Amino acid sequence: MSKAVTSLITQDDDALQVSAALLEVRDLLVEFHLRRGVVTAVSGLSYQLHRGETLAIVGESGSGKTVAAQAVLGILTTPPARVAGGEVLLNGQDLLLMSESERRRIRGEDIALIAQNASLNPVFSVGWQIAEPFRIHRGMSHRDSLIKAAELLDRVGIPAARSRLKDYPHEFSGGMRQRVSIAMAMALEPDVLIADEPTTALDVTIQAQIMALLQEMQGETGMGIVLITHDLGLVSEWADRLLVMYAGRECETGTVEEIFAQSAHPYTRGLIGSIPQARHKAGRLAPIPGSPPDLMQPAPGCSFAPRCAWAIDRCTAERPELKSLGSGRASSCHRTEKLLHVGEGEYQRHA
Amino acid sequence: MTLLNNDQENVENDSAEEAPRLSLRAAARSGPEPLRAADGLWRKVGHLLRRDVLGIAATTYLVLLLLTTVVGSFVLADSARNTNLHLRFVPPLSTQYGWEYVLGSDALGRSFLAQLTVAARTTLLISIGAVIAAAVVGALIGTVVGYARGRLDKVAMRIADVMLAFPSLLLALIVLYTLGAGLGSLILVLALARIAMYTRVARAETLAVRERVFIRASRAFGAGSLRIVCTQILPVIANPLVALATLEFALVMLAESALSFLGLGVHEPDVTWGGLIAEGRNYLQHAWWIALLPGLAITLTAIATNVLAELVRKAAESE
Repeated sequence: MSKAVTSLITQDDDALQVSAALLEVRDLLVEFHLRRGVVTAVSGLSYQLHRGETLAIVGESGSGKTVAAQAVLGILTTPPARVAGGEVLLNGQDLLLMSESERRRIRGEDIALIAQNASLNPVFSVGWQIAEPFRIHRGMSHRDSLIKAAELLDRVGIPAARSRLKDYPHEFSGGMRQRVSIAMAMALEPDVLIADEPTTALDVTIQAQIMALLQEMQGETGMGIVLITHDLGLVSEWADRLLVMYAGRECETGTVEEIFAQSAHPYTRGLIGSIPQARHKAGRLAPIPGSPPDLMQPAPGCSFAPRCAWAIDRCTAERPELKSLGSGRASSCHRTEKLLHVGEGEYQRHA
Repeated sequence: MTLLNNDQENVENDSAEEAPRLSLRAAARSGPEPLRAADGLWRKVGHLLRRDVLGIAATTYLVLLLLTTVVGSFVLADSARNTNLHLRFVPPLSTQYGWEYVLGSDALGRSFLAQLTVAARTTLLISIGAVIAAAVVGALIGTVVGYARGRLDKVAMRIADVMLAFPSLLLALIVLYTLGAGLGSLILVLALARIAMYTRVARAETLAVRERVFIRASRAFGAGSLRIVCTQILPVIANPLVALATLEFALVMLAESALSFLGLGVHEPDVTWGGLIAEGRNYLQHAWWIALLPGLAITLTAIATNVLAELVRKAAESE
């Protein structure tokens, strides 16, 4: 309910909110220059992230969601990767125009990353690693930074935090390690947190704990979270807005409620149809047939057309542009209008 | 073992109080202590040593050698210099001239035990010095180029190839001829010839480590390249480098002995095992021990370090 209310408010204040965006990405273009040719991993991605908001970026493996996040942070391995165009505005400043040393000051301080499980160095104690941001950005002494590290560990709910500082990553469980990663990312209270599949390797109960912890932290500091995942179940529960990516492009974006209620893109529908439902055991899952396209030789039309049950001749000939559907919702499909007027039952029959 | 597993599960459930952790420690203490990935390299070596007779023998030999060298170079420094022409060519195991002559004497009647000990000090000093110098420089270069990649990496690796392809004896001859023989230039030559080895190993290990998530995470926290190389990569790749250095020690010692034998080593009064052999060659007919004993010392030390190096390598790989 409260989510619906906030989305209403953002609708009304759309014009105001644009300038207040914490993080704004415009037409991001990332290329990989390989020996075999040029792969366009992200083409024309745009999104806005507001204070206190969680934006989920969803897509299959290889859809460019992680690459896009690394481009935003400026930690792509170049070469082979290259940010070929676009803007990344953090609090109004374009990160892509900054020098590396300026960007380094911002990383960790204003924008931070929670990577997948293995983001801790196995040869250092956990305390030493959590204290690292304080030493890098604040020039703190070892002793002072360790006191801070203990406070952080305590904040992310690790019991007997002080006595665990000297422990090594392998002495923690998967869930605990992810708590440690969160502690590290939260160290300097960043404005924007990019969580790249933060719960992928964890079991469901721990997933919920970690997401609840992230939300609690968000409540305390008002940071914006970019949640990168392929788990739509997670999205439906924890995110405010959703951006679906396919083959480096944006398919659909909107609030989670809207998209789950009536998606305007066949790919999103396919993803939602692929979520296993414990309650309807009898029905079969409806996976999306085929596999993602080769990004080195993009076809002229819609990149999803070969796998799409709704494809018409126009889809293989002309690439659909991202069309705004009003109130922050957009979809890139020639058949959006049709889809929006088709109920779930009829959709299933068509597929 | 089941007890241990149960406790680990408790910890993993995040139910997480201090209690299960303590009992985990207790369980670990009661049974034979299992090896763990994050244990220090030397603890792992110690663990492997417990079941290895050859390893124990090698380690004992090396420890004894080090002790004799350190103590002996103080106690025996004078008798290594004292000549006594009445006591020339005393054979080993002679007891009537006192303990200093237990290994016989050389052409000038100096105690051969003292000679060996003093020579051991110089030999070890040169070998260890060269190994450390080569390891530090080589590892730094390898890690930096491995992390930076690109043109720098390619150039450095081609230089390393050339250095490894170049006959090291020729290199030694050139450098020693231009700089003049001596302790410093000998260390320099031996280090120079082996730097490329460490560069290659460090680079290969760095290539594997730099793709790991924690490096990317570290960059996301604003760590600069220098900080990442020094505090994130080097500590992770240290173990294989230590294993390599142990192996290289024997090689460097043999090379030093060869150079000394050829008369390119240190000058009198400094002497090394290789130099002793060269001297003993002149008296092989009637004083075999002068060439044989330092030869034996070189062989034993080389074998012992190789055995130890194998252990260190195993421990380094058990991560």
